[in-house]
Amino acid sequence: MMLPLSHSTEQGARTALPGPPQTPSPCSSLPLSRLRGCPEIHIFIDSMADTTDWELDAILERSLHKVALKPVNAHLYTCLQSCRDHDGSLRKLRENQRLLEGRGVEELEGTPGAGVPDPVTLEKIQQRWSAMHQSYSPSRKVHILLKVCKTIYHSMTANANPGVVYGADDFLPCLTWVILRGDVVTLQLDTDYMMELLDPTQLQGEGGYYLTSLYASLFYISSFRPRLATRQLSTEAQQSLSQWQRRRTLHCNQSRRSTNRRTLRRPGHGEKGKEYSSDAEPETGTGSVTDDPPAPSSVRAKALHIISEVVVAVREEEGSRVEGQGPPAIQLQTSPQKGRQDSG
Amino acid sequence: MATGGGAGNKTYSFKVVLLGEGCVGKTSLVLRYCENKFNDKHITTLQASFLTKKLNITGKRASFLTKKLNITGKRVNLAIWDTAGQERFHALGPIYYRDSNGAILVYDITDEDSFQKVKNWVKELRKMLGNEICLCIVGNKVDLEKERHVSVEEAEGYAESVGAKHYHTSAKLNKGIEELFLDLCKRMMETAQAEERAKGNGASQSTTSRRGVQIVDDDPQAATAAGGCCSSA
Repeated sequence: MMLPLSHSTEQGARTALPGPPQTPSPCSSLPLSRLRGCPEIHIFIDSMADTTDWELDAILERSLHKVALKPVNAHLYTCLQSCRDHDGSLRKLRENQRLLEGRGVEELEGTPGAGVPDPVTLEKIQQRWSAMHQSYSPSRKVHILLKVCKTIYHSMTANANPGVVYGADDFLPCLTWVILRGDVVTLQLDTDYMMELLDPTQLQGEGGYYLTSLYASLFYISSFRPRLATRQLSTEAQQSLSQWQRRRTLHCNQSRRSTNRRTLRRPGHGEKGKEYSSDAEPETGTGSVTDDPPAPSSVRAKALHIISEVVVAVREEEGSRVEGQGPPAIQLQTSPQKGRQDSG
Repeated sequence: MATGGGAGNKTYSFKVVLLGEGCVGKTSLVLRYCENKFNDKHITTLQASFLTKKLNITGKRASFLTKKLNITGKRVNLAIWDTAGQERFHALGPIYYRDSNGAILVYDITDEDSFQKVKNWVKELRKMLGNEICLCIVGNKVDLEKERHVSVEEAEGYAESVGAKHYHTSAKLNKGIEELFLDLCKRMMETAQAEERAKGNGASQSTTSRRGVQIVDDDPQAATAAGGCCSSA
């Protein structure tokens, strides 16, 4: 998450950002409000007068990821995995991978003529996926994802007729083809990790676009049902996607359309429950189920909570005992509200 | 998502999503717009100027393109998200158009079916995002006027009835494309400005609303019915 540290109204000396536009979004200002009051950070910023705001943000972001996310990285993955195991989507992914992995790009709705990576390139991509998984920083992960996407584009155009332009119609099937040749489960968890922890402003940009494509391809695979009419798939898929959409937008983005998204939460109908269990829906049934927010949001809230805890620890203990306050302090049931209040 | 720095030096960041059936020319349209050079004379008239292109890691790929504009002294960063038009991918729409300020719905004037698909998208977008998203309905391939299967009256009448603007373009001849995007930018700016006025101080408001009640519809029956209605029409 990019910290709007250099918000010009706060610090007259610092000029407007020369780099990509920064949005002081509610989410990203979470640790910042605490960091601003932190003398150690002030000294640090003052000592780096020559550094541009953009670089400074990047440095702070990296530091924050290291201090806050690195210690809990494995724990977050465990949470994500258990949530995905719970809704059955990982099982569905594996099953459909077996079903679809033999298909060519054209059988994955792709256009004839677009190339796919050769074995050597594919191997390189696998290494990148692996590096993406190893990294604890969501920004770093997205950066690696973009490199993979670039490689896929290269393969698409390598043997194509000159002048042919490939858009999303062609890219998504190729990406799906590549994903089917990798570790779909790990990719899904990495995707969830990034989608929940990246700053909303980053979700609007290039990284956000290709992360969305990765999510879309994985969703295409996990929700694939050969015999169903496409419209049926569409309806169900929309439903579960809208869950994520509402969650992420309400929590972290601008409020302008939030009123449109307020609908009434109520218990679902049991008989449909089985049908939907393969999608990223919470199980329908009794009312109690609906009280649980979809797990990734609590993971995010948890992460935000952790970050703010760490920042508090840094302030109160002069930065010397952060390690000891790491993961054990995390409560599994940290509510999103708690996390968000910390962010305010 | 409209954002800005200090007063008077405002930068707007808008996300625009491109929707439409495969083969209607979505990709060529946006590529024309982002990769073609502007005619300087034209720029002055329209008070718009092309500044710089942000360099993306994936390069100038047609799926995701950005463009920086200067419209009446205000800086505008445009991020254009292409979507896959195949029927199987229809369900993925929501994750692409979430948080969009504008949508460009493209059909092929020689293909009646592609126009019906646009109508489906309009219904879905209005349902999901309400009236604050600026919609543009675009009849592409006007270079094939002789083979037109969607009448101008019908298309324009429909656009008006749903609060969208209608444009005719030809990516091949580079017709109508600049106007489309410029118009859209202006409308998105107006929407953003109206919002700012209504909101006063955005930051405190958004905090309040984030903490407000989040009520989510978990009823699959209702959702199925609504989705079915939306997608089968």
